[in-house]
Amino acid sequence: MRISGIEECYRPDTLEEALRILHAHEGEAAVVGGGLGIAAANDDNVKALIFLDGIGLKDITENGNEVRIGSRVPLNELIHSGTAKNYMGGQLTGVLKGVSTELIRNQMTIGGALIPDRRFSDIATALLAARADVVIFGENGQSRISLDDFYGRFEAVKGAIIKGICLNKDYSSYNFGMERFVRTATDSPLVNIAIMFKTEGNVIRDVSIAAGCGKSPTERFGEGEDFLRGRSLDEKTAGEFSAYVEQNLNASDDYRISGEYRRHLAGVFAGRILRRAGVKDGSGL
Amino acid sequence: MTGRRSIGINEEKRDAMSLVTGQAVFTDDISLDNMLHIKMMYSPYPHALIEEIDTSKAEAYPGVAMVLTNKNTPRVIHTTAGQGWPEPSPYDSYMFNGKMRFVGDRVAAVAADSEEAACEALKLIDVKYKILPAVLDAHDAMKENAPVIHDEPEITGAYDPKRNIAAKIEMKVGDVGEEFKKSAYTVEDTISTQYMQITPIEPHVTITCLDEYGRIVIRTSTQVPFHVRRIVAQVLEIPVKNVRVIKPRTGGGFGTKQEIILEDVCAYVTLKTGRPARAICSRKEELMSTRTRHPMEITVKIGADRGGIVNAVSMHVLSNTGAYGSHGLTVASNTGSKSLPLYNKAKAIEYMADIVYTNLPVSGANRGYGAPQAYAALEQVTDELAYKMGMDPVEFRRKNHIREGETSPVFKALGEGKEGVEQIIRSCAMDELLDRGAKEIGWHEKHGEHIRNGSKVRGIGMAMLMQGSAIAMVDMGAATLKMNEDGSFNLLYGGTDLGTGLDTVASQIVAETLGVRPEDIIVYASDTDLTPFDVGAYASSGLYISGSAAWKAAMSVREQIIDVAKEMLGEIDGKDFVLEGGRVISRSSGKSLSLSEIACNSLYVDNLHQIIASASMVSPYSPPPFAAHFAEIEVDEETGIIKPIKYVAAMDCGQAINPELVKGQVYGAVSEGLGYALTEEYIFDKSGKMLNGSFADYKIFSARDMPEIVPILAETYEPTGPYGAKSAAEININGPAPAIANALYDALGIRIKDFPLTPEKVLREIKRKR
Amino acid sequence: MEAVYRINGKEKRFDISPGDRLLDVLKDNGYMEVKGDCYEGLCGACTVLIDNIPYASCMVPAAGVCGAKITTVKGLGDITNPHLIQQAFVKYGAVQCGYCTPGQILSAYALLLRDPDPSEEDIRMALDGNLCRCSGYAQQVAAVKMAAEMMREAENDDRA
Repeated sequence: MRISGIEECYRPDTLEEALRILHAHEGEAAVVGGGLGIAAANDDNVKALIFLDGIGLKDITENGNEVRIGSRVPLNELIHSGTAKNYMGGQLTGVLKGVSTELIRNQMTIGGALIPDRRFSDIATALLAARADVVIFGENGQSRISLDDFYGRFEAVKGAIIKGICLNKDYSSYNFGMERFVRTATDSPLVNIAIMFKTEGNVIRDVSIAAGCGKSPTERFGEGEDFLRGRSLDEKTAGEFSAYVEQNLNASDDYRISGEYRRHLAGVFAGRILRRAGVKDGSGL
Repeated sequence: MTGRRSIGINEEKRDAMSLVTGQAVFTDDISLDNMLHIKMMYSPYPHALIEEIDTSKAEAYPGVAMVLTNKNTPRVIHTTAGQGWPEPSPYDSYMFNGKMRFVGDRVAAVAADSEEAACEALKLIDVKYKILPAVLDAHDAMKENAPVIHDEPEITGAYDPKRNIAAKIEMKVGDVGEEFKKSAYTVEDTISTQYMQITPIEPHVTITCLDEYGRIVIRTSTQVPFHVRRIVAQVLEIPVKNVRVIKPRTGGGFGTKQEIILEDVCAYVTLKTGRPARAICSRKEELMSTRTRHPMEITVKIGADRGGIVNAVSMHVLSNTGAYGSHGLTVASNTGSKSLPLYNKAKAIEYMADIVYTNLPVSGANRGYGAPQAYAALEQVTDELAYKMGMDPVEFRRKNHIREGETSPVFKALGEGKEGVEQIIRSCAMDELLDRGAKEIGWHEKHGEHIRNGSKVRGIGMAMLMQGSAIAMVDMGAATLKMNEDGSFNLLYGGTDLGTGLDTVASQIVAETLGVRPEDIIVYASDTDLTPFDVGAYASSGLYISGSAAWKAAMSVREQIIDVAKEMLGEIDGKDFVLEGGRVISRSSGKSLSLSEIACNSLYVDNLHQIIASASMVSPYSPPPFAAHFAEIEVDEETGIIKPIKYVAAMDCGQAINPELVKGQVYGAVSEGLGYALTEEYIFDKSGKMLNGSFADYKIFSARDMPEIVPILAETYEPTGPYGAKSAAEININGPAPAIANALYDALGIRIKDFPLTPEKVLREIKRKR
Repeated sequence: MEAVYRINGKEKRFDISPGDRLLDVLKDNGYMEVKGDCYEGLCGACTVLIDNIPYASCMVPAAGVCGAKITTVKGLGDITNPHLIQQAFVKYGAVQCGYCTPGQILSAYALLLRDPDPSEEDIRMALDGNLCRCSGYAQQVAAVKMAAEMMREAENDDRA
């Protein structure tokens, strides 16, 4: 059965046009990237669809010190893109390879995956930990904010159209890992956690942690970052951090699994991410 | 009979090419002019009376032809269970009930020009409910002062509805109490199984219309066309002769379609409006409002003597049949009858079951039909007993299983709704299955070794299984075979191929009998006007009953062919005639005729008659297939996640008429069993509403979740089966739950007593043990 | 509104509603080989190829893919002239009820277009969106592997 309530479709040529139509419909229009969000939500309030395929936003490019990914790039294209695979030695694309199903990987866009929708998102968690910036186009034109900021001020920015994300090549030499819990291989994650960090002489100098555990689609875990900064990358730290995460990470409870179990898994995963990085560095974990 | 030409051959599945090219026509692949679309309204409450229902606004909505409620539909109490008449299930359902008995019960329906119009009109139906206290746990059903779910005076066939008991079973052979006193070792344990559903990817869908004679034609995705015809006629209060049921290509059933779900409503709309009517279930409706597997709590006690021979078994079952009792008695009967005979050395056997109503989704038929639940419990308790005795679990099974030439009192004592039929085992390769299966999994190398890789530990578990081949003296199927002038044949039979390949196997059986190729048999099935009766696709009866009916008809046609050949060749004695390669050959004279010559002669030339035969098959035998399953898992101690690594399913199904199709049954049943063991469950909120009514949260295995599955077929010859065959359809779903549970015990020494074995439960048990 | 698609090589003009899913449009216009079930993009029975990439057509807004090249399983081959993948599925016992089969075949076809020699893991990854209840996937994975071999051989024969 068709998506209910849709009365009109638009296919603007520019972002300005798209935004104008979006605002003209006062909350009753929705922007369509890949289509998954619209088809899934089946929201009676949406009366107009604004297709963005005339605007492009599907490029993956390297510009100076960063990699830019258009918001309409589907996950499979990201995973298979040479440019994206080179970023951070392929650690980022590597963790996204098995996400969901082939059909959804073909349709799920990077931009679409960032929108909160009650579930956790592997793409959002990975990008948040990777300190991606998001380029949005809103009432005041184009602006670029950190993904962290995007979630922090979501109510204020959610009317904008996401143009793309930027990954900073300063992080190319960082370690990056993500782990997730799924009930079957193609499941949406019930909990995930990603850690990006850099060591200097085996001491963790810079770290960012994101987890899909409490709030959809993901959250920064600042206290965890504070915990790890300055610590040695060793077994003791991995064990203590695991326990810290289990005790302190914000976790939601739902009928699928309990918050307690989520936190436990996040803790186990956090320890494993560190240990795996440690082994790679040859730091003898 | 000469050597085998079609038996044991991987003949191409005859509908395969049509399916891979998208040509095959499923129920919903046609669209009729002026068709009405039916949408249903479901109860938001687990237990409520419909005090008032106002459909006036819905009726006025543009495009709406009819709104159905309990006020304007036939008041014929019946069972929705697709079983032989008189159905061994309570008559406790109306097309639309005045009382809602679970969240998902049908309140009303709208038939409109489009699905959208029907959905919009549904929103305009005003219902005033009187909410009643609900029973949301099987344990509460029989308590003093429990709310009575079926208080309608018209109910019949339920054991004690005032106490919410839909059925009750008591079987005692000998005195288990006395025998247990003599046991050297006893173990008792209680295992619970969950609400789940084997979800066919094609949902329930029905299209009805009137033919040019005003008869109702029902096109429906069903396992039981003849039961549909009878029950729809019953409910609509019209004669059976005015109803025709056709089963087109069907996208799986697995028991959920052994039921009358949409057909009566569609037929009634067609009857009243004269227009075609279509209804199809969404995935959520499939899960919530069709039929599930019976959740059961099973307490097994088993005792053995010093030598490790079982001397007594008792099995007590609390089965939850949900809001309506369909299949309640028979599934629970099967729980005992398809498991207990395996341990036939027991001198005393007791089986007791209470099948209770609750205000939860309706349990019905699901592949295995009570046996998966039985084995989930029995084969864990037997494992526990083996460990207690310090005996290898495989050795324990080897010492105790039923053998050729033996019987068990359970066969006769426990039928399906009536007394059973005594059986003697005439084919059983269990020892070979245990040997080959154990070898393939590496039992002796890996069992008890707890092979570790970091936090991941390996474990091996096994289970010994049996099932049946149709229901003795109850399941009947018939076939008609007629000959065409080119030496081909039309097989018209009621066998209900759900994608299992039954039509292919039936054509192989007929081809073998008549010395032709399977392609020379044109199969037409499951049309109540054109094909003879068949109970339908359940109880693993397809090959054994429907296939045998085809065989019997073929044998009769064979005689007729030989008669004509004798006349044409001028020979008196047909004893030496053989049918081979499309010819009839007289061994004594060396003369031969092609089948085409014979057919042309009898159709056009001389002694004009149609070579045709009909035959029915009902069997006093239900020879069990046997299986031994072995599972290797890897469990992560830190997360509780169980990953199945390798699964060996060794099976004896007699002669495998088409080994590739048999393997397909093994792979499919095992994959469903793995879901039963590990991921599939209904999750309810406090009001009995199913929360995970979608594939997003009702998790079935994808191609990436599957372990390596190794099917092993051990051939025996079952003298009562067509060309020595027994069934293969259900048995393999019984293995994964106990095999995985036993593997978990091997790996970590823990047992979780309720399915599915989710990671969170496993971790909780790991922590508790520490 | 009017929409044009190129379906199985033929240009088709349909009158669609703005909210139509591609699956709706296909079924409304006689493409019954595309099956529908969950309407959530999770079972894969409705798989079609859009520009040779498999999508769950129940999740694709029809208005958004106007002009696209769409392939259903009938576009690969028919009974008189089946594609090698279709032949492999038949030959290797990979078809039971057949409801998930068109979707699986299209997913396999898309895989073999970009990877003529996939590993078993690659095949399972490519088919992971096509749920099957009948088969446990084993024979389908085997059929895709064989289809890959058959296609490579045919390619070599063509070149020879």
